Amino acid sequence: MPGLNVPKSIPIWNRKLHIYAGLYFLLFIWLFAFSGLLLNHPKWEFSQYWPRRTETSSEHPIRPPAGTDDLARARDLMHQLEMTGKIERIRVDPAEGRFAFRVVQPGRTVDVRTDLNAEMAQVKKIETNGWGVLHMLHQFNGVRMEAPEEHRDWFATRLWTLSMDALCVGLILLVLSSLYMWYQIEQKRRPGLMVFGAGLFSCGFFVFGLRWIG
Amino acid sequence: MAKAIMRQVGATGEIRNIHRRKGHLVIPVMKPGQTTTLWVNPKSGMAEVVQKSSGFWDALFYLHKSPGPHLAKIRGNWILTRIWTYLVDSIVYLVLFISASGIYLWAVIKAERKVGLILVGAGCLSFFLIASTLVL
Repeated sequence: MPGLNVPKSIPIWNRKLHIYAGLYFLLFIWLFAFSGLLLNHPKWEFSQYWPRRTETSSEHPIRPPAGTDDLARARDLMHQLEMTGKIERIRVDPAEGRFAFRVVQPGRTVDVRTDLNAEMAQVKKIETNGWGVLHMLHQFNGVRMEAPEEHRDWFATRLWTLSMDALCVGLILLVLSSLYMWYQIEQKRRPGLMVFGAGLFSCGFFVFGLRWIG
Repeated sequence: MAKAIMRQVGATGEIRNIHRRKGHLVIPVMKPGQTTTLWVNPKSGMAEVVQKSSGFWDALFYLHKSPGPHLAKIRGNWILTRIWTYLVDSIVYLVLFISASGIYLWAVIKAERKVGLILVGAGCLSFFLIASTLVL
């Protein structure tokens, strides 16, 4: 960096880090960019997935679920019904012998309602097309905002959220390394500062400024 | 009608799901970091304004999800929400352009091609492995 006594290897490794992180996360960046665009435009005809969903219902015999808590019982029932996914919305009615829950994975939502007395399960499955999968991958983090007591009970959601965290770190590294590379080019400093300042101002305006607009 | 009531009480922001509750017309109005709820009593012609500040993190969450896929018929009813939508769209297009130009810039550096290809492959492989664990 001009004016500072920086070892020669730092700009080289900074550039390498920028290239490598960008290339590794390329597909992740494209997924979240493109799905973000779809979420921003729910009226785009080509990506309508909800009206094109398929719904199927079926009934299956079950054994009384084993387990010490509701989550374990739901897992046991999922195993019996050969399902995978994230468990949510567990509802229990011991008096009526009812046990219900929802299993979610990108592109598929399954509502399971069991009658433990009759040892039967009613399974209602909703499946969407690839656009629905894209939508859900963008938002799927294993915890619903309205139910913070739920935790990530599926290995795949933990893996997915871990990769989302890694992507965030990767994006921060990309930004910092590009700031460093920009600062090294002396003749680009002034226009860069102006663009950077304009970006900071417009972002700050939306984050902090809107609440003061009367 | 909601906009006319907002003008009378001096409230601004994005109108959310208007509903009726306890004989009142409830108009939630959102801004990043602030929620204003107008409780309008149609019989008395009075409106109670309840304002709640929710802070920096909530402002970030709100902007991250805004405008989002919900309330498609009424969303973007505030000009600043519409400007935010255009801004977010431009950022996404810019990110796509930057990544495409980044690929070009990498491809012209001969010395980085092999490592770069390995990393693109590793990134794609891990993406498909994780995504298929979720979807299949």
